[in-house]
Amino acid sequence: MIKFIQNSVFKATLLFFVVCISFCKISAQSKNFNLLKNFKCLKGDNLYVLGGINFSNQYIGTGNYASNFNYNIASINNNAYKPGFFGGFRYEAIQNKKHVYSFEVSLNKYTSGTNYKDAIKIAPFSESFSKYKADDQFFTLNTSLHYKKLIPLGDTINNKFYIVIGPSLETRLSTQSADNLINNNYQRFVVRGDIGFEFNNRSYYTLFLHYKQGLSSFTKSPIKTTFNSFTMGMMFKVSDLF
Amino acid sequence: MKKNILQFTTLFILFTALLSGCTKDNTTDEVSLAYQMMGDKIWYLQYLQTTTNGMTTTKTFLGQPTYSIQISIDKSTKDSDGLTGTYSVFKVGTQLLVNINAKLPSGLTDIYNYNVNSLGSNNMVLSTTNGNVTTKYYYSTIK
Repeated sequence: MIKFIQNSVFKATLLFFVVCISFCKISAQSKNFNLLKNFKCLKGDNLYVLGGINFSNQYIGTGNYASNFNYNIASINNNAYKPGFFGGFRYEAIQNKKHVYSFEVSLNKYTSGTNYKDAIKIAPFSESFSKYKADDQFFTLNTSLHYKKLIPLGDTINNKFYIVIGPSLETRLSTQSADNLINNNYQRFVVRGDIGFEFNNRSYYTLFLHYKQGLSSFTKSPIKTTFNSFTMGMMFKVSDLF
Repeated sequence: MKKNILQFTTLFILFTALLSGCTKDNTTDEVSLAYQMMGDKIWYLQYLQTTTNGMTTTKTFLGQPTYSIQISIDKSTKDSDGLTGTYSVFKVGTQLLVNINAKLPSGLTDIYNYNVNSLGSNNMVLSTTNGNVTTKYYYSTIK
């Protein structure tokens, strides 16, 4: 824990949240806030704070990856969505009182299942092996752009259901394991497609469930990793909180 | 709207640059990882495979008393024959090599050089080639 707190990523994360919360607090309180006058779009009414849990899995094809190392598939293969958590901010804008767009920035701690498509045999050993071992812990900065479409379901004045779709960019902030640092296997960025449902209850809060499908590989060629996640969480207007 | 998107793009680039600049992927060398994987374990010889002029014979030692070698993180070794010694791992080109210096009861030192064909935390394949005879040693940490 102490090691984690000393970590520079943790310090940067803390700084990020302190700056964001302070900024939101000041901008919500002051209508004549001039310090960041170039960022007038950041108004408390349109800005949301969000958090929740995510469940992630990686589908891994090793291709013809060459390595001097072996990893027993039985001990590293785990075809499951494992839980992590996230927190961040979202800005929403309405164009022509009709089209809702949102821009989201969040910090994510992923714990991922690892599903290996390829296995090799090292005869006469009876076990199956992989020459590559995927990392299962990531700390990322996620940025998403969403288009929100209101679903005409029930009382749309008070309870609004939305379908949400858009691209998402994950920036890996955590370092790779020693096994992957040898060949620098992981990419810094991964692009994902984001689709989900959102429920806004009388503007008090919004519940959301998203699925993020990896569109680009999280690893460098010849290894192909599709990184998929479910995220579920809640968001509130910053102006309601501060 | 366009102005807003531009402003948010600027904020995004600033945050991404700030946070991604905090971490750096330092490359690790294979030799360090090899020491980590081999060290502090007892390796039991499970199979011995000899290939002479394309003909391969495999001896199995599963469930039988077999040769074992204890490899310590301090780079010392002790085998089931009672010999102690030291070992080192190094890399030539893309090939990992293990060098074992075993101290004989006479006080002399025997040197063994092996190619590392595959190395894991529980399975290891070493090989030696002498003329047209290739011998592969299949070790496991499971007895």
